[in-house]
Amino acid sequence: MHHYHVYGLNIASEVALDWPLSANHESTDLMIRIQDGQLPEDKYAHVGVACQWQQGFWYFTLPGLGAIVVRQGQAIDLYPHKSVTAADIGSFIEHPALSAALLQRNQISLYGTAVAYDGQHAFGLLSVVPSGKSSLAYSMSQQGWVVVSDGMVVPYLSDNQSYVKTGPAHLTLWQDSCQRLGIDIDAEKTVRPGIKQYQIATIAAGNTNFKLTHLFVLQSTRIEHDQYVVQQGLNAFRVLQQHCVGEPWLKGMGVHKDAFVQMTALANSVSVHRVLTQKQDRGERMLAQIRSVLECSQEIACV
Amino acid sequence: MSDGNIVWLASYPKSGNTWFRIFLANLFADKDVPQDINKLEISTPVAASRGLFANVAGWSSSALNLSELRLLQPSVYRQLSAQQKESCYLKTHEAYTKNASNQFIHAPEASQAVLYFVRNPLDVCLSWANHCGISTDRSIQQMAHSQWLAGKKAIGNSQYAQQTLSWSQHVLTWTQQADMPCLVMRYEDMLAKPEKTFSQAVSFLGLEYSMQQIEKALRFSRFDQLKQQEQQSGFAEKPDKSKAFFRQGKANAWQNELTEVQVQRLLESHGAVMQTFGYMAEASLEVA
Repeated sequence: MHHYHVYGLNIASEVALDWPLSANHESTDLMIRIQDGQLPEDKYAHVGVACQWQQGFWYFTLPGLGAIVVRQGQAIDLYPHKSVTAADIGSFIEHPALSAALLQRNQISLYGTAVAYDGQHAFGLLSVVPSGKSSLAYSMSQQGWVVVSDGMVVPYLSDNQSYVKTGPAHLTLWQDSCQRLGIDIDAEKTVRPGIKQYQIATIAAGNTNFKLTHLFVLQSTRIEHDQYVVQQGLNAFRVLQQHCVGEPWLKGMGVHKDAFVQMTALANSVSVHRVLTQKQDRGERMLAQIRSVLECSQEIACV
Repeated sequence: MSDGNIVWLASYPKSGNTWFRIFLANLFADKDVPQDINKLEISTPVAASRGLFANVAGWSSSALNLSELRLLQPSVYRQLSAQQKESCYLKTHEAYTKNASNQFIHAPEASQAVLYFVRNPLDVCLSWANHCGISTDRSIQQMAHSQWLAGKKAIGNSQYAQQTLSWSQHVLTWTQQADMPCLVMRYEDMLAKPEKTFSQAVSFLGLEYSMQQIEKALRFSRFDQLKQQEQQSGFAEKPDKSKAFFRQGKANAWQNELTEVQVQRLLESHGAVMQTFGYMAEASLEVA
């Protein structure tokens, strides 16, 4: 059994993963188990391929991969196909399955990357689609900032202050981004066989509780001028809702009342900014805008 | 109409799809000023958008390869249709084909209807060449490719690759399917008889708008209006390699821009389908 600590969870796993190890083998929040045989809930078998979100139950199956079931936020059960690789399993556990488990535990997660800009404070870079957020985080890490999580930002509230949970210490970058950033891809491994994405190790953020001060929603565009808008109140809530992982958000928030409360609290406690930049040199443009916001907030020294 | 809620706005690229989407946005908005082409109030998302996948499936598509995405697409569209109370308009450049599980990608059971936009391939090839920043000969070659995947080289794009097949196959797969009602709109008719052609589409979609409202939406989405907006503030859907998305907006530009050899190549590949849609007579006359 392997023991990990990511996104605030103590995880006991029968699968070896590239995650931060945990010294705590006593209390387990989430089990990752390999199961033999048929799925007991094989009621979706006739569909062939399916991804189902239900309250307390997330089910995903794909030919060549097998099935993954997440139950009550307590267990991720794997029914792997014979030919499946460890990388295949890892990539589906790390994002869809883990975010489903978090939501089942009434913990929201957002599509994005979190970066700490000093020893105590962090911001999130949000985008549902490829927008250069991981590339930007890589550039920031080269300047000494620390990547807290990549793929999802997991915020939580404590004493009226938003914090962000720490994920695995790596960034996932598309091949063309690696080439642009001068990363030697021959020395790196792909996320999965056949997917031109690479997992780049970063400095571990450790177990620090970083205060989440800003969320930057990134969008590259071909319009003439860069645009920057501060989102407040309901607009901030809507922007965050659009970036929340999990299908129930589209159906309203009746199912996950706690998640609704978390989102409201997050919209009220964190400064939300939309940053639209032209595609050309977007990394530099986005970084300049983020620096400017942080400097104006007097949260980093003026350069 | 079929049972689902998805209305497909389907076309081979550069055939009037974006123009119609902007018309629809102006029609639905019913404002006194034209819609900003970069901020359409009514969303008509691209079916192959990674954002749409994430919003519906509830997680990111980035760990999936194209064949896996194609396996999941029908399920995503079924879920999307089930979540909608009203019609949902999705743009697609994919041909109407099946995935490895023998399911139609466009999930006919989740579909309401399809508006299919067709344009003379002699003009499409010029517009596609401009759009992609490629030569006309290369464009002709791609349009004849029976397994063509649009966007296959775009890694990390906001859309995943779409199987368009050849121009002829694209047209035939959509117009010969019997799974959902289909209205074919010829780009040339949209240009020459806009009131009649767009009214037919509005009626086909079961929308209740007056002729006055349709004419206003048409005025706000006229080609010169769109071109002016693009010149002033750019257009988010313009590819990097293209000088402008809204280029000429004319029919029969090929007569001045294609060589006889190029016309012949297109006729050899697509003559039979061109005949069906009334494009052959013009081409034959011109070549003769």
